[in-house]
Amino acid sequence: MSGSVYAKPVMPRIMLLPAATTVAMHVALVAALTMNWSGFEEKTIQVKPQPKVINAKLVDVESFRPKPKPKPRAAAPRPVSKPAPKPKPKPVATKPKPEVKPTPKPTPKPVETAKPEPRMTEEELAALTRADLARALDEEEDFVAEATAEEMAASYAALIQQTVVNYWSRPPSARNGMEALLSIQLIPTGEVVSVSVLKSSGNGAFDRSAINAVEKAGSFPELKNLPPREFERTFRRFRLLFRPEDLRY
Amino acid sequence: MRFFSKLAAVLLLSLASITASAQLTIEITQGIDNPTAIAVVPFAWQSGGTAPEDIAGVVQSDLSRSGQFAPVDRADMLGFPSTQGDVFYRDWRALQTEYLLIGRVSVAGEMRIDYELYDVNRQTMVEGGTVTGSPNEARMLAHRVSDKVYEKLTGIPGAFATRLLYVSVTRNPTGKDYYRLTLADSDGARPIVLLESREPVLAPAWSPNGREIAYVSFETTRPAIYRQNLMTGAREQLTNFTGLNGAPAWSPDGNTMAMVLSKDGSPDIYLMDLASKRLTRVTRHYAIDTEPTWMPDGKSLLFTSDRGGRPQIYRYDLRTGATERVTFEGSYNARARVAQDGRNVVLVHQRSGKFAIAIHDLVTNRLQVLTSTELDESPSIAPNGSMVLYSTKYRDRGILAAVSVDGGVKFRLPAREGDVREPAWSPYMSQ
Repeated sequence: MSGSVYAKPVMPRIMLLPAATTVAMHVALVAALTMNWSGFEEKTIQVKPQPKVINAKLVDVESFRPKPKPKPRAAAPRPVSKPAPKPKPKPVATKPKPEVKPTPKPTPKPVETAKPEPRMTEEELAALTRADLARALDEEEDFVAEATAEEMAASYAALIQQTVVNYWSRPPSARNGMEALLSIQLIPTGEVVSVSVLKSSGNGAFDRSAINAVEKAGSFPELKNLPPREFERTFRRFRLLFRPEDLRY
Repeated sequence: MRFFSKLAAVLLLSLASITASAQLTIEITQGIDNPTAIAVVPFAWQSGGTAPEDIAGVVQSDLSRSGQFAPVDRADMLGFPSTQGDVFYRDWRALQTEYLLIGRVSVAGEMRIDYELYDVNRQTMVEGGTVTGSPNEARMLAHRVSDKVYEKLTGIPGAFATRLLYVSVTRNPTGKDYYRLTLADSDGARPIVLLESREPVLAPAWSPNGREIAYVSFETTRPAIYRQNLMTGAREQLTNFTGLNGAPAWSPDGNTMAMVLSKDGSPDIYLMDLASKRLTRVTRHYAIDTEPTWMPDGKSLLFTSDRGGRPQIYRYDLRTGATERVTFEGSYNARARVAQDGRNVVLVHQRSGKFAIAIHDLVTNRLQVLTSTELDESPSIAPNGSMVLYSTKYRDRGILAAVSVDGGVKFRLPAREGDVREPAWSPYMSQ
């Protein structure tokens, strides 16, 4: 038992420095990577999984309100689960590690580990919780900012959708399930500067009706109210998928 | 270490690919199907004298009648361009028109119509072309322009350059009525009387190539089925059986005619091979089987039968010989006609005592009533499946009316003297 206790500290003492440096390097690398990713991910999550597909079934103006709400809610857990665990464990892990190492040292001396340990951890805990709290607050703020930005993006996407729906007049050859994918380019005033077909439905009249819907809409002046960053990120260039579901067949 | 860096690289790559495809896509699954705004500018007349026909006027009324288009009033037009150089898109944008049709007409022996269709929003030409033909056929040429425009903008072929057959009856208070079998353009214009009789004429039908017709005439005081060539006027009597001889229906390949004969008892469906005149009995039932019509694939027939107590539509499979009931909604469904898609069946449906035109979807088995008038009969569907022509009563007179297959558009054909009944919309005419 005691032999094993000795054997353990001895081994690390020899390899401590290289091991510690490699661990530190790994941690630093992983931390750096995850930090970068989480930065990326915020954007992808906002742009991609959430507003990626907005279904035109809820088209009433009334549906505007409830619509963005469930989305951020659904969105919130995701950013939490992804970026949060990554940055959190790392800083926590880096600090406790040196603490955890000293603590085993005192333990072999007396058996009463309970006394010194709480003292050490109390201070550490206080510092930790303060740091954690600050970090958590920062994150929360980020989430709130993210949520509102996302909410905004979603509601503006819904607005674009509603406008286009009102201008879309389908030819009689249109059938449920036909799909035309258009690429739309806007300028910050909300004006449409280019409409192009990314994927044709195979029916010329259908494609033209989709293009005409966007052309007739012409501009989405409400987008002027968007912060420039949000505009650039989501609406400078986006796609419209025309896929009727309400036709007779 | 290596594992970690590999993992990191993989993760980084996958994330990078996600960010690359992360562009906002808004999905549009609904629309408001308004008629398309189109300006049909009067076509420029480029020969001497005055134009024999207002080509653009014919095109405009064709497009308007289809319900798919809302033509711009000529009085609102800011100019009458006839060539691409004269088109100022801004003027047409101001009228909120989506498309612009211009054209030129000239006659040098034969009539020539050049037309161009422009997309006002995108400022591009969508379609351009020329139709030529006899000046006597000016209206038909105009209908062909309408067909081209309609097909380009709706994605389904136009059916304006087609014709109608109908029977008009002029009441004669002092003696026998006059029956006239009449051929007219799809807009009811240019009626030509093919047959005039003091005895009833019924059930006109088209051959699949549009060159021949068949009908039932009582001119020998007994009903008989006749076949008539529209080009030569040559006429042939196909049947002269005792009892009922009626409801001729040409098969899609043009070789066989389905008909109703009661020579063996109750009315049943028979097939006549037109080359050999050999008859094949199709139905054998003590109930009345009548009004046969072919599915577009020629493999089965729809007919009306009261074998279930009330008239309903049944389907007879020519390969298996099996008969199945098609309609179940309501207590009266009769006189079916099938659209070229083989899916939409128009029929007469009785609902709360009124006879209305309804459309039955053979895939979903759903029935939709299209008309709200009371005594609608004899539906006939356009070859492009977009409109249904039928006869109805209006101010105590029999008239022809049309309704779109979605029920959204209705119009009456110009009323003529007498009662008009039993319309038959031609197939596409081979030019």
